[in-house]
Amino acid sequence: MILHPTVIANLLAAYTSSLMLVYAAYYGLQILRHWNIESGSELQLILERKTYLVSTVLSYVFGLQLLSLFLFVFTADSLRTLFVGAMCAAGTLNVNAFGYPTLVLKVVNFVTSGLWLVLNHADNQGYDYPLIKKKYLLLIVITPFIVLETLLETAYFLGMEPDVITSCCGSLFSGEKKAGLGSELASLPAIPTLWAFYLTVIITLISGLVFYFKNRGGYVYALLSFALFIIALIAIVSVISIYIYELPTHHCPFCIIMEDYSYIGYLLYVLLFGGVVAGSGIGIILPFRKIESLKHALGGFINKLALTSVLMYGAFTVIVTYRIIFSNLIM
Amino acid sequence: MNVWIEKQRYIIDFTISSLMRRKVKNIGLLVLYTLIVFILASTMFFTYAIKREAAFILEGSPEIVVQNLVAGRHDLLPVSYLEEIKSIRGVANVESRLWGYFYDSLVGANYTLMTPPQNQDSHKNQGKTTVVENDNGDPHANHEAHALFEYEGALLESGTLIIGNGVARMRGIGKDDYMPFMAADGQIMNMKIVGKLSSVSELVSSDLILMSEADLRKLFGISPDKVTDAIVTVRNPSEIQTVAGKIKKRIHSARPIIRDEILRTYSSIFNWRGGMMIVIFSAAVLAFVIFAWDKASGLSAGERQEIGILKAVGWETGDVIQMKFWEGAIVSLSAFLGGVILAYIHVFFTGSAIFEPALEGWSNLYPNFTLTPFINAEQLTTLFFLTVIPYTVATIVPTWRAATIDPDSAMRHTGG
Amino acid sequence: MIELMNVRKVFNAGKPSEFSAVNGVSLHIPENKVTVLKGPSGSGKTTLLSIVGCMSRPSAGRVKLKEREITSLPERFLTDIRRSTFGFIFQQPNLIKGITVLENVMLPAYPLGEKRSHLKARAHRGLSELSLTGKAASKVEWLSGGEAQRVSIVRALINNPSIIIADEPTAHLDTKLSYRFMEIVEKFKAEGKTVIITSHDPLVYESKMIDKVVNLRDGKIEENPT
Repeated sequence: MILHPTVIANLLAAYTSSLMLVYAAYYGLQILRHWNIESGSELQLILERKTYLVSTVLSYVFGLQLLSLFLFVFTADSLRTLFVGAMCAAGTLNVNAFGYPTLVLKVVNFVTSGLWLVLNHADNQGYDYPLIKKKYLLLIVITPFIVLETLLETAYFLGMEPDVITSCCGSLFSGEKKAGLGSELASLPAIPTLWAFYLTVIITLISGLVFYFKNRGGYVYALLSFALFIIALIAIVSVISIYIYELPTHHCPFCIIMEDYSYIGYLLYVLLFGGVVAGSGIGIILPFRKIESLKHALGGFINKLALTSVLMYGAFTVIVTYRIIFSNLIM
Repeated sequence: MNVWIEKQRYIIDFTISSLMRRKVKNIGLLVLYTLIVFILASTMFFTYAIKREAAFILEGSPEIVVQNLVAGRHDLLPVSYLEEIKSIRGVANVESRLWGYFYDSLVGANYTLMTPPQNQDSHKNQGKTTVVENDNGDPHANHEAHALFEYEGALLESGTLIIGNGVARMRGIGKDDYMPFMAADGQIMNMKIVGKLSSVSELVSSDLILMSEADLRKLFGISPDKVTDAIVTVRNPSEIQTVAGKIKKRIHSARPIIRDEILRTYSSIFNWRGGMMIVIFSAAVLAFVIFAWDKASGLSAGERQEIGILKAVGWETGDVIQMKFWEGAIVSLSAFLGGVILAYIHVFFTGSAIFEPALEGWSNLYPNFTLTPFINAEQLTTLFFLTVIPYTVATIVPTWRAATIDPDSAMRHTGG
Repeated sequence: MIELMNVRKVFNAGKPSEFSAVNGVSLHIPENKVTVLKGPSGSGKTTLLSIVGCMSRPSAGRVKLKEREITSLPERFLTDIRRSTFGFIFQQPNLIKGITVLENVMLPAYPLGEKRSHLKARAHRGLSELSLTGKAASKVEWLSGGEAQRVSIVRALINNPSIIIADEPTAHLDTKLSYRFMEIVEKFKAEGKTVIITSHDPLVYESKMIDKVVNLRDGKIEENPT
């Protein structure tokens, strides 16, 4: 293992998230078991108060999840000097089998805890806690994933042996060798991928605006915004990155968050993550807009989500387009 | 949106005035918090700066150093090996080095004695020995090349010395003074100082003394067919590993050391040290967290009443939680900024005055250098995670408890 | 306006210390009238008042406000109703020390995120109505008892509530100030507000402007008080 201040910070964040979530899930279980909105008993009053605690905890976990996602990549990048051949985070994440699964789980957990907060906010609009059971069921589903993430992350950092020769981003994400998902993404033809990306962007944004103004096609937009998230990630690896690095062979999705590229990656990823949470969040709460107590309150909230998501994806596209147009790389 | 912002402004205003009203309680917390950040930040700034300094020096060190091992120990290298190494394919150049340590009983310090690098004049052409030049393959490299140390045109000939700043300071000598040495055969050699070394990093040159090859051989009694070690330059940086392997194969007693290995090892050691320090200080952080928890949960009667009033007049539990969130954010941010700034001053301007006693142990010639200020986003994020997050988490539950005080408690505390 | 149906409030339910502060109270509080809840201390007046004022929820029974069932509303919504519908005047002025009179008065409106200039203007208007204009910038510690109570009245009115709730308002006032308070209550009534007061002060419940007196004892309404 490597005892590095940043590694300690990572593990601290992971264990804190897990503990908080397990704590919240414990009350979630109590709420699922004893909830009775009709009752004015002390137990019910206590449970209602606990909902404040749980949503506060989840907000913190959500924020922590976002921060720790970036910290994780950052750490992987700064540890590269310890590994022969690792030139950036891509190589370091590959030093053992737990690196990439941890990263994927971090992204998934960020999105699901974001969706939970969306659901929670919707539920808070109703005077009779209309979504309480679904909400806490979701919480109990999320918890094991966060715990799993913590365990994987621990295994990843504990299992690190410095000087193990690893592939660097040059080979992992270079089109030449056909091994692993990374290189397959990278070997996708750049220009068609770019077209696919822009096509998805246009369809998604139009569908988002249609939904925003005409209030139609909400599920379509939710699905599209999820699809756009995935396609945008693919496009970053396959084509956007090479325009930013101005190197036709450098396909790394991590280097863009480094200082050398003026931290532009943070902005791009925050926009992308924000876009997917808000966009897919619509799909999560749309089914409930018919509920009596939510009928009036939910419309505005859904509209806000749609607008946020459209704006975030829009900004993402604008920045990416700007970087492509003003890139010195000509394809 | 405007409503939301306006509401947060009201709440922040109220939070600040509420913090000011409880100065004594909050200043204690703030001071302790700042102290924790200060200690952790100082440790971190110091280890990172030293690490960078070391990396900086090592970047300028040769790609491969070849030592000779006899009975598993570092021994002098026969000159004949040099040709053998030169004949290996991929080797651009081989140079011998002569150096050693000299113990000065007068001041109780060890000096590093060496002959001046052979290519001091032509370092532009074959940069790897005295010039810091980053690896061309590294996309993060900045292509700046500068000599590791300079001796300002002083001419080094037999019987003269060029000394580092540390040596000059310790002995209280300077240019044109004399310095006596006792050679290996018992003879006294009185050497004239013709210059001082200047350096981008005093860490390199502090304890250094340069002398001519003939003087050094005489001083240490090294026969002309031996050198201390050899440095090898490789044509293609990606072949270093292969070349090192070939050297080992050709000359069985040779020990080739690759620069990257040294870099990694140093990096590893510094990380480990930094990590150990953090682990040690984590006890302090834990103590602080318990203190913060205690502070946050031990609401005074006044505060309890105040929150009761707020809730009675129409503040919601969520509003009180928001207020407490801002309170935590304000305290954390001030402590974090304060601690970081203090640590910055401490490490980079006062030369880690508080840490000095602990560090001075390792060499009497501990260089009197001010570290090049170096902080980056990684250090700051790490610090943030190690200090602000434990504090925030410790206050969640107490905050929630405070926020769920019954609104009718404002009516009850007077009875009726 | 407010309808209570068989309301009970039990504390420490299921424990040996269980007791019910309010025990099956049914009550109608008419609009634009002054109602007094009268009874000795411990009779459940304050508990009942906190249920009426949406500060707490009954353990059983139903509460209706303006024909809307509010019994099992979550705290979030009760608070919302409370701050727009009710203004509270407590036995103690319950002002927050260390901040100015003006800030104290504005406090209930903070969570609504209203524009600052509007809110300030409203607060100043309220203060001038109770002749407190000169005190706006003073800290509350410097106020006299009567001034402090008037500040707390201005605070209760800041969100323009339709119902005023006063818990033992005259308990800490001398006779002169108590009369002064009753004059203010009369003004409320003239403005069309509903007023609910708990008190065992004859000066209050024997006042001629009182429309209804409810006698409470041991958490129950006494129909024929002696």
